[in-house]
Formats: sequence, C-alpha cells, structure tokens
Amino acid sequence: MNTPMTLGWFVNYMPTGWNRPWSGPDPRAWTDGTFYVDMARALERSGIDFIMLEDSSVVPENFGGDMVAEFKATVKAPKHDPLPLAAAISQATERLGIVTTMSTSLYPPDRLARMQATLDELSGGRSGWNIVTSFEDLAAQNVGLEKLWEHDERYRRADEYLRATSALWSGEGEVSFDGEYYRLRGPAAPLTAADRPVLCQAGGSPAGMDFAAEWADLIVAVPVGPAAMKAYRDGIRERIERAGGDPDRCRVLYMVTPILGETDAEARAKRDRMYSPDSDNFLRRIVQLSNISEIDFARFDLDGPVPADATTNGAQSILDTMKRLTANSSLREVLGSTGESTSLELVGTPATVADRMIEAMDHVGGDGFLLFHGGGGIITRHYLDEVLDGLVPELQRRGAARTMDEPGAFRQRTADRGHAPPGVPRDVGPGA
Amino acid sequence: MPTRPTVLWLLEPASARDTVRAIAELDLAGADAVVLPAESRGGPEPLLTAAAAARRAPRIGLIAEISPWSQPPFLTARALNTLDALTRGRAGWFVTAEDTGAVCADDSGRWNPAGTGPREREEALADYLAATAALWNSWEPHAIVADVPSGRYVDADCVHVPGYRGPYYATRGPLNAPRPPQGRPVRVADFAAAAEPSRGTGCAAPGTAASDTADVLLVADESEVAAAAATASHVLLRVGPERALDPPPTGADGYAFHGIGPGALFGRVLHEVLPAAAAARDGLLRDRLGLPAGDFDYVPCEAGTEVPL
Repeated sequence: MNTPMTLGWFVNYMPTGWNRPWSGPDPRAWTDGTFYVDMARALERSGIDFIMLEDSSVVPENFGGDMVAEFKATVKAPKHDPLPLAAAISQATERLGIVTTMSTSLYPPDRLARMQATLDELSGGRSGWNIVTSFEDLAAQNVGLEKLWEHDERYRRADEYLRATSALWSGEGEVSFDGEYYRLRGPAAPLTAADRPVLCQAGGSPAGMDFAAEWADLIVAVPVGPAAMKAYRDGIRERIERAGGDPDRCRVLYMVTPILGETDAEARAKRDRMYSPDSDNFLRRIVQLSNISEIDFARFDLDGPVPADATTNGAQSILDTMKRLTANSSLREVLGSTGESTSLELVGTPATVADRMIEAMDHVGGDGFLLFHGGGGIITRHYLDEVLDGLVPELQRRGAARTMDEPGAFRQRTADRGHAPPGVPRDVGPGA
Repeated sequence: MPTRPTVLWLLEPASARDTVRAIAELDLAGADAVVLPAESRGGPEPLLTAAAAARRAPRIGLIAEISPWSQPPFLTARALNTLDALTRGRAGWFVTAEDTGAVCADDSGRWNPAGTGPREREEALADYLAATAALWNSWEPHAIVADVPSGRYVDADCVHVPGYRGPYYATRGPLNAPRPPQGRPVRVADFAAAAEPSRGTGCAAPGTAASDTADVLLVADESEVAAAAATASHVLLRVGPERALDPPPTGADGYAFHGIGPGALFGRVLHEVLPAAAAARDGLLRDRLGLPAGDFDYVPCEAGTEVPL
C-alpha cells in the first residue's frame, strides 16, 4: 500500500486484566490512571496516531435484573470518567491524538463544548470528540431523564447539538443559539489550537451513516470481512460526495483485535483458549449481548436453544438472530466461541497479521484500523507489548504504518487538511 | 489549629499552560491546596486543568470550582470522583452557584435555573449537593474484591442504588466508578452568615446551602471566624494582595490567598511568605486539613431516605 494506514487504539478507563495470565501485581491499580497514561506514552513511542477513550455512565442490570453478572464480566462497569484521564494524558504526550467519548444525550452542549475546548488547549490541538448518543435508559435516569429518545430522534437531536457546539467553538463574545431542542446563551468557547476537535463517530445504521458523513473526520465501524468493509466505506464516501463534500476529508477505521503468537499455531491455540464456551468469555459475551439488546438472556436455558416462542421488549432483531443461531445448539456454544467484534480475524504471527491487514487495506482502499482489546478486565501490558513491539514494527517495515519520527500532528495525520492548526507547537506541525 | 497554618491559594484565571505552571510552583513551595476558578471567570475548565496538573504537582490539593448549573449532579459527582482517584485523594470542590446570566436549556422538562430567582436557585443548590452526596455514598469502601476463584471483580452487595429524587434533581445511580481514596472530595465554600446555621437539605437559609455543607469555609474578615467554625471543620481567612506579604494573625486555621496573578508579588509570596507558613505534606487532602474522617465515611442508607451531607 502507498499511504501508511491510520492507527488508533480504543480503550476503556476500566479494570485491567485481573484474573488472567499477565495481570500484573495489583487488580485495583487502574483507578489512578497510571496504567493508561503509561499506555498513551507507549502508543506515542510506537507512532500510533491516537488513543480513543470510551465512555458510558451506567452499571447495567440487563442480565439477571441486577448488577451481579456485570460486576463479574466487567463489560461496562466499573469505569472512571475518561475526561480527566485525557487531560492527564495530554501532559504526558507530545504528538499523540487524544479522542474522548462524550454523549450528546447526557452532557449539556455548552458544558461539552467548554470541556472539549479545554482539552484542545491542554493538548495543543491534539484533541478529538467521539460523538455518541447513548442508548441505556438507566444512564438517562442518572441524569434526571426517564428514558432516552428513539434511535433516529437521537440523531436528529445530535445534529442540532453539533450545530450548537460549533456555534460556541467558532463564535466570538456572546453566542446565542435557538434550536428546536436546545437553547443557549453565553460566552463563546473558542478553540485556541484548532478550529474544532477532530470529530469521530461510529454510525452503522442509515441515520448513523448520514450523521457520520455530515460531521465526522474519523468513522469507526465493524463490518465483517474485506467485502463488507469496502461496501461500508464506499457508502460513506458516496454520501459525502452526494452532499458535495470531499470524501478524502474523512477516514474510515475498522475495529480489530489482533491475537498474536510466535507461530501461527500458537496464536490459534491462544484464540481457542480465549474464546471457548468454558472460559469466562461466555459470561462476557452474554452480558454484552443482554446490554446491547436490553434482553435478559438469564431468562433462558443457557445450555439450550432460545425458545421459538420467546418475546422481548428489547431488540427484536437480536432475539430472532439468536433463535436462528441456537436452533440446533445452545447459547453457551454459540456465544462462547466468539470473541470481540472484529472486522478481520487477525490471528497469527506479527508477520502473518501485518500481511492480512495490508491485504485488506489494498482491497478496501483505506483508511486504517482501530485496535481494541476490552472492555474491562482484559487489557494487560503484555498484550500491549505484543502489538506495539510485534505487530506495529512489522507494519512499519512494510511502509504500512508511521513511525514516531515521522512528522505530522494528529489532525494532519488523520484528516490531511493541509494546513497547520494555529497554535500547534512547531515541532509537531506539518513539515517539522 | 495545626502547628503551621494551612495555605490555600485561589488562582486567578489564566491560560491552561500558565495555570498548570502556577500549580506546580505552589506545590513546590509547600502550599496545601489550590482552587482553580470556573471557566465562567475566563480561563480553561478547572477540573480538567486540575487533572492535567496532577502529575507535575504531586502533593498539592486540587480544588475545582464547578457551578451546579453547568451539568446534572451525576456528571459532577462522577468527574470529581475520578479526579480524586487520579490525584490519589487530593480532590476538592469549590461550590459556587452564581447567576452568570448564561443559559443552556433543552426541551426535556428538567428543571433549569434560567429565569429563576435567588431563593429557588438556593433550594436547587441544596438539592444538587444532596444528590451528589447520595451518589458518592453509593459504593462501599471495599466493594472491589477481585476474587479470582468466584470470578467476582466487584461485590454487587456493596454497591447501592440511591434512587435520589429531590424537588429539583433526580438521579438513580449508583455511580459507575468505585469510591475514591477520600470517600468524596473536600467541599470548600465562601462563608455565608445565616440567622440559624443548620446542616442538611431542606432547611437551608437563603444563600447558605454551600456554606452550611462545606468542610472548609473561607471568611473575608477575622470577625467571621467563630461563626464559620460553628458549621465547618476548617476555616481559612482570605488574604488579598495588600496583606499577602504580611498576613495578619488569625484565629482561623490558616489563609486563603486570593487576587494575586502572575508577577512579582506571586513570586515574593511564594519565596518570602510560604516558606515560613507552609510545609510539604503528603497524603489525603482531608487529612492534611485535619477534617474528621467520619464525615467522609460510608453511611448505610436506603433509596429515598434523607441524605447525610
């Protein structure tokens, strides 16, 4: 491939691995952020373009109707606020992009605009916002709402929300905004280093893709396999072109979880151990599925098929899929043998995996990958080393990934806008 | 009163870079805590700036001024909880609730301070404080068990749903993060005299909700020290630029320097006054200020009951 791929790492401010090999000495140490600040430094050394910090504001009770299963699986909780962590990372790094997840349904727009403006200032223009709209009613109840708006309505609101925050970022003096949903009046929140944060979004649905095509500089998606990856990216580019925009202004990144070994066979054996019905993987998967579908799978016999007459107020499509998949097997068998959502199965030596990633990029046309090994209770320094000292150098040797010495601030790397954001320190600007 | 007076410093609004530098210098000079001003005063967002300073300034208490009108109580409780974790127990909240005239409203029907009067805002502030206290009390101190044989990372029996519903704010909870090193951040406020000082929700006299519930009160005049000490564990006398080089003797626990921006006076106070007054002290901010640990302890409570502040 001719252009180096864009590489990010998606991580949760959650417990690190605590009940698996290479867990390290202290299962509570993650809370003070040191692990993640060290991780950010390691990513920067390896030439990774950015770190993306996930967020949610809830302890789910979907599986079994209480918090017990969640606190075993640690899919979403416990979790600390990623924003102060991002601020700490900004002082420990010089060129790594720092993307924070914030929900348009939970934060008031002027608070969000000011927090992002401060991260922009603290990082010298290296900050980004991963725009999410949230979907958990329990999170809504934490901020005084009964429930969240319907999916497409959330995106309509998010669109207006972005216009409100943009008004604050680009305004001077007093800013007024009167929309259908939001009403603001107050001092502008001008960005000092960039014109706006790098905007990231993960839109899978038509409404989500429309929103992403309109606003996002970076789009994260998990279509499975090179053909689906290409179709997704083409769909996004077509939407941008149809609206009269330049499709190259936006990068599409695919979520992947590489599993690396010293031989391909060793990596495969590792994968089989990680994703087996008798490992704690099954609990994670079924808690995760209960969370995203809001279906309590604890109601069903885990060692049998989902009954054909089962009904739900949650995601009907997911229930139907699980009925079909488990018809001749069981929930445990089907869920236990799958891992994290990943666009490509990347299992092998660093060389094998690097080749597969490059092959996929050549087929799809771009633009890069978002590495992920989470949520809580999974990531270890050992895993980071495997990727950063094993896989990334293989990509660099093939000219497919940047090294730390290559110039370019986060914004140039990700969006190639061709101009230096005012105020970005010279040593990380273009042409440095 | 501790053998040496407490030194707290109210920073003037400045750029993020200058604020972080000033905090690092105050940390080296042995000051006990800084207050970072709210962004409505014309600087960066204080909680994030405090988090950014946490490693360059490894000992000093970091107190962020956050207006309750800026976001729902859950988000404030969560952010301060994380700041306390990141700073290993040095976080504080300077509670102010000024009407800056700014408006941020939506169509959700939740209570909004825009266009309301001072009495209503005061009641809402008391409610907001109770909501954050309920959330900080949602995790017992030893909820993380990390028990490998049973596969439990957190003991779910040690995490409680507060289900807080006040007249202005509702938050179900629990917080999604564990109890931080201090239990909750130290609350700091300007002293406001009331006819009959009283603690707790629902009985706040006008203008006193923040003052009544603060761990640390700042007084503008020596004559207020005794009244402030009746409600707060720790009282600091405000000292402006005119007395900064020669702080007056006081019956308070120490001084809150304010109104001193970057420049010669800042350096002179740091090098001529603080060495005699301040000492580099480690550990939790609440311990450094001599605050009773009991107030920060976990209190068993059930959803819907009155929240201990």
